Amino acid sequence: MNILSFEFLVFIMAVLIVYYVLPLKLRWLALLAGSAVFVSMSGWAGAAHMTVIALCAWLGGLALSALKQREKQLRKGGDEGSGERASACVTRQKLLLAFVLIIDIGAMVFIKYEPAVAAWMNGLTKGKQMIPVWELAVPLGLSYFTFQSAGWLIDIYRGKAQAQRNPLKAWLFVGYFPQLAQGPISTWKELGEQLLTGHRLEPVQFVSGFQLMLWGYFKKMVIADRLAPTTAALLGETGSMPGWMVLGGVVLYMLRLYADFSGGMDVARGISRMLGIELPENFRRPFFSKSVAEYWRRWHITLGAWFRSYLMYPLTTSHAGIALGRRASKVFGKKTGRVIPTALATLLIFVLIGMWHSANWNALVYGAYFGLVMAASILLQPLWKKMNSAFHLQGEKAGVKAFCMARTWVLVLAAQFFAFTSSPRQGLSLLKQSFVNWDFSHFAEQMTAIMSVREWVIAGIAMAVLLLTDILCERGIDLCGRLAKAHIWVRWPVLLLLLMAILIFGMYGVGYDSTAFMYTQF
Amino acid sequence: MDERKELLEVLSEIREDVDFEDETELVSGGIIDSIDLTQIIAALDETFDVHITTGDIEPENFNSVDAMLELIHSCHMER
Repeated sequence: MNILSFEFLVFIMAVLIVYYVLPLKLRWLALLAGSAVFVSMSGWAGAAHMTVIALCAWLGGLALSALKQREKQLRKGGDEGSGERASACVTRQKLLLAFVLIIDIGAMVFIKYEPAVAAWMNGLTKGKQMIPVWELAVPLGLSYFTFQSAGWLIDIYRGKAQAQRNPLKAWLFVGYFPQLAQGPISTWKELGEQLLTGHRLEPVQFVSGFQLMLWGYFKKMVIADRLAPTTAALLGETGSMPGWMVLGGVVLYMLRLYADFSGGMDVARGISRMLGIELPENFRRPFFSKSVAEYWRRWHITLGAWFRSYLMYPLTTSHAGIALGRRASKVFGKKTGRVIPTALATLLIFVLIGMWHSANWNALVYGAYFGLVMAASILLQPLWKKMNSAFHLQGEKAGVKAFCMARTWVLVLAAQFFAFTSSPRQGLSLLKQSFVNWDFSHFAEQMTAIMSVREWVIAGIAMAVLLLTDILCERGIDLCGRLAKAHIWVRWPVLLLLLMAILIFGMYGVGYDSTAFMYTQF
Repeated sequence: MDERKELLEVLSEIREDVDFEDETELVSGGIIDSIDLTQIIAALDETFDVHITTGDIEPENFNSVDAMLELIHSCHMER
């Protein structure tokens, strides 16, 4: 079901009505039914895949819980040999967790990467079909529900989350519909209990959710979808295009990606808020970041948190990680040596994040680039500090902040050249092209050739509104909360204006092929 | 040396710009990030001979110097 369709709006209204009509204790069933309808309408194969993953999480979680309970009893007992039996119990937990994670993550890896790996290996053998290419349909929200269920299992193993006796409740946590399209990836602690506890209708919260949903549609339909054909035209046939157009195209691509992805997030969070459920934030105005590290703490927050919690911490705090740090400290000194395991883990994580985007060389370059930038920023921290001090780049002065933000923009922008091109060579050639031929003599004709003046004006005003709201939020003003509590004569005109903007300037309707969210089917 | 003093010394080696003595929201307030945290965990292992597991990595265990001391003590007790 397309989130931008009229049928989706009818579906949401039905879920809201059923949710608030049901008794408090049974309200989770409305979410379950809604999720079941949404998932099955997105394809039966995907629904079956997700159900298998949910079953694994349910059974695996229960078995892990039972083993944990047994381990606790043995440790309490203090009988002869109970210590050894408790250790054996821990080993069984580890093996069980590894087994379920292999099924969970293995299925995702197979679907996403088998065709590309098989085609690449067949290419090496000069076209002989050595390995079959399995072009399986990618289920809706594949990596989101895979990561969410894997995180839940690891948290149960760590004793930070509970297993569920009821398989339907486990299924709901894995397949909660608003976050299937593009995430966010929630932990059990963030979402589990919220889904299962019935929420009363709170007018202010409901209105705030409705506002957030509208704002999300505005970002997606008025900005992202308007820029979609323009960025495609700008970056498709670059030929003899002047450098400023190539660079402008990449900037617009980045803004489109932000409006698209964060817009989708606002729709998911808005719908959830109307149901009394608060989903974790996935974007916190990333373009105001003063470093690449900060950018990644503000962009796709829950994906970063997942990799940090389930990969970076286990790697760096393991006995091997600590021992590596100690050995490195002896060679490079305490300060640098201690951060070497962190730098290496960060590099690995960014390579994986790159590969998560796609199974191609560009994704690898994209991830490795960010990994190297991050690893260098960690390893050379003392040097950066000295340089910042020498160039007076410290403190909260506006000029310093602006410089640091511009530096981050440049570093992030460079990576985008590999995000949409089809090969690293093409990415590099486009990057090179953006530096040459800055000829503005045909500026007006070239700009209107890719988008009409009217469209440029609408896109410009919409992006200015987005920038203004982001600046206000960055200054700590809770616009959504304030508007939800504002007087009716203030609130409704603003909401009507937003609604009218979407209806008049949004890209939809007959003859318009609605663009899917850019991060769907990941 | 007093354990608290020793811990403060270790922490200020990692982030000299942070007031570890009085701060109570080191992680929740975003004052230290994941990179600082992994360095702190390695330093605790080295200085106090405690192995912090991933299950212990929660904001409440690293929000203040007292919370970290408590974590060190509980790790010693578990041995």
